[in-house]
Amino acid sequence: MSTRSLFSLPASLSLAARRRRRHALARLAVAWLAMMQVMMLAWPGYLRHSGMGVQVLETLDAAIVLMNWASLALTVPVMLYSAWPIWRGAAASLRRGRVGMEVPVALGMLAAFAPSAVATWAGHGPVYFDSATMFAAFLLTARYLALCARQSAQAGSAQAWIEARRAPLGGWADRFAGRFTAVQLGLALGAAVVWETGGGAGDTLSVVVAMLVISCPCAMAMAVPTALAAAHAAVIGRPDMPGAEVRTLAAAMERTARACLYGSLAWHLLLTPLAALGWVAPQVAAITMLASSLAVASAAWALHRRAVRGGAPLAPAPTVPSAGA
Amino acid sequence: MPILYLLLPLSLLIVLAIGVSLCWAVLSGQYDAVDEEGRAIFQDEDDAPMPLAYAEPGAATIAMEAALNRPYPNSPSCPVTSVSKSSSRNGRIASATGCNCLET
Repeated sequence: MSTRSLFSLPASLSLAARRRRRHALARLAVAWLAMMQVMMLAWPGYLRHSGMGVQVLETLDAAIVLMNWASLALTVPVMLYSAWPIWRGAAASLRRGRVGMEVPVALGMLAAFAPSAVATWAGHGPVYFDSATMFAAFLLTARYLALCARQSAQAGSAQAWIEARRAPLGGWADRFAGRFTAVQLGLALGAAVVWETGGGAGDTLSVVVAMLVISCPCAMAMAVPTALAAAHAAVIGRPDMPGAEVRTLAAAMERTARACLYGSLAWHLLLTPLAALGWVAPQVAAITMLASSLAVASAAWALHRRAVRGGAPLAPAPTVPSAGA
Repeated sequence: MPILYLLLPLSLLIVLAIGVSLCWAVLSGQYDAVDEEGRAIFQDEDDAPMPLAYAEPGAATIAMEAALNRPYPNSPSCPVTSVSKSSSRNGRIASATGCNCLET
């Protein structure tokens, strides 16, 4: 473990910035706590299938209704407290009239939460509480890493240099997300029309919800902050990194962020037909979200490993002569 | 089956207690600088304030941060040669410092 890391508190941090960091961590903690509990409560729903005996199904369904109420109770604090920055960001970007990364994220979370709350109240229907809480937990983790990276950015010129790449990369990702949202809404609307007129009117809502949930803007929203945080962590880990290597690292960071964005788009295109056909169960949506988010996180991790290992053998060299002295 | 009516609310109460205490710990600043707590034991002045995590950084904080950082080079390689240097400076806790450095 090195003495400075991404999570080391910069000494010159103002009290307001420090407080913002604490609140971000508290929101993150609530989201992770609720996510783990909701996942556990969702487990009976995962096991349920129609091949079970009638009595078993009856008991299981009664238990699932109870579990859904417990999940709802755990998800409400995540939606109201943890996800508050997401709602605020989405509202601000809508007020400005520009659809950024926040809007598809808020849309996906709302599409997962609101119908699940209705289904819980009604006592039947699919619930996506596990997807909603996982969404919030992963996204807030990426945001927290990005916040730590941003706050440690004043430490050196290499970090300031990487920080300068945030605005163009984020702007590009926002435009990308705006187009993605338009396509996503269009597809969901088209599927709704087809299902409504094609005889499957009873399932229209669940198909539309599945299409919005499975689109996983989570992975998309994580792409830029995780790549930036990985690059910052690499620079903090090797303060003696030469300028040429910092430039290579910044280029690799942009490549990783773009690859993650294109990858999550491809993933979305791959799964949309399945959702449009009505084949997506809530647990599939949850697993899809988990897989795509972990893929983005591991891409950022790989970037960090490559950057740190790139010059690791060189680092102790200058200190060797002083050993004999 | 009826036992769920007792156990589920009970588990929710436990989660609530954990969540509230976790939020209190985070918001009161106990997780602000977790690496400082580990380093605090190497400080000679037991009555010195713990400025980094709990207070607005002033001149004293920055000076203390500098003092804390001195025996530990910023480089992640944390060269083994610095063990002898820092231990000769700190004197009494050479082995502990050495362990910390060799880990990296």
